[in-house]
Amino acid sequence: MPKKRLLWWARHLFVPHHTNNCKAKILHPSALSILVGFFLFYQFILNFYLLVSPSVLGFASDIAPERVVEITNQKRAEQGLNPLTVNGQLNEAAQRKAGDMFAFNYWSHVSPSGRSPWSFFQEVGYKYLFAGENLARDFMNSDAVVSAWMNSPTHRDNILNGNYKEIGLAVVNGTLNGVETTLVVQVFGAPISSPVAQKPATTVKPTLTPTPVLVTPTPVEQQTAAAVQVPPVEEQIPLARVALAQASQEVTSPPLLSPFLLTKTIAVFLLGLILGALLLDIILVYQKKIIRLSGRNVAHLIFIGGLLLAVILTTPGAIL
Amino acid sequence: MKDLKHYLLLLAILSIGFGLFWIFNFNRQIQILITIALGIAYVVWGTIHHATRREFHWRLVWEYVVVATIACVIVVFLLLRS
Repeated sequence: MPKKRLLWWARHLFVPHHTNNCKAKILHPSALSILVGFFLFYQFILNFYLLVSPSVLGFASDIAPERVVEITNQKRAEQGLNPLTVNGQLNEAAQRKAGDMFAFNYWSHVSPSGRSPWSFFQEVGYKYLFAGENLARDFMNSDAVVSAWMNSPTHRDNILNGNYKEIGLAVVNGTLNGVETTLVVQVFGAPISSPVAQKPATTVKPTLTPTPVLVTPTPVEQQTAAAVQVPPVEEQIPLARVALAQASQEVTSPPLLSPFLLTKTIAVFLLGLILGALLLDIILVYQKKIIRLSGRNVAHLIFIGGLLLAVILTTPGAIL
Repeated sequence: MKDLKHYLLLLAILSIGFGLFWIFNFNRQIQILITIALGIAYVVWGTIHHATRREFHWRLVWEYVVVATIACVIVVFLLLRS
């Protein structure tokens, strides 16, 4: 009888019995190894599907560049810092950086060919005394992006850096490693015409590392030449608005199946299954007073339960 | 009573691990390292726990390794997807 067979298997998998050596079969190392194999196979299938059909899986988000700038300035105001002015050239530099990451398929401050964030500043003709860059990807909304940056000491230092006077932002959708991705590039700058330029240039050492807090002085000769080239502030604002509007148009995308959510669903299911089996095993072993050589199920329960909680609390998004 | 001390130690290790996991939210590389460290710490805890109770057996160590592996593999792959 199939129903009888099914019940036998259910009992064999989840109830300590003589058929499973008095321990739920699903908790045997052999069965757990099969579950690891199943999860890895699932990941392999997901990767394969991303390769053959990259447009189906992805991540849809609703990030407004204006809102990111607004929250950034709110955070600065809370610390008594001046608000950052949106600069069109910095917006363009951020757009180019995002475009470069999609074009060359990387997620880093420095491109695989060694191109630094500052090359994009130079490309758009932005001459700076101080500059910084924050990156984020796959967040649901603008608040979540800034919140994640504020929780990271190095990104927070960038947002709350008093040396910066201007900001540029790009939110761009594209395909990164075969997955539809929303990249957020936030760049900061202090043009050489700003008051901080009065400080001696020799006090700041050039640093070019992939850490989020990056302060790079422009060589003295560049500072002098750039003083003429930096457009007046009243010209920068309309240009910035146009760039932000363009960026906003690019972030609207249809909902997609997210590989993250697909993985999270399976992760919660598998860990929940093991947790349930452990709980049942603990109760039955206690009731039936079964004595056996086995690991501590209570310890397994605490460990798996903790990691299940970590899985549930993990939300999509990454910063750099 | 001896078991209680061991479980309190395990809870302390896991609490520190999950605290760090939370602090380094969105810093995926560090979160992955924390997860792997927690898995290793769990296997070490299990081994020492059974050894002090004179129950040491390689089969038990293997059980802790497999439990730690399945949990860590799942969390690490989820972090890589996020």
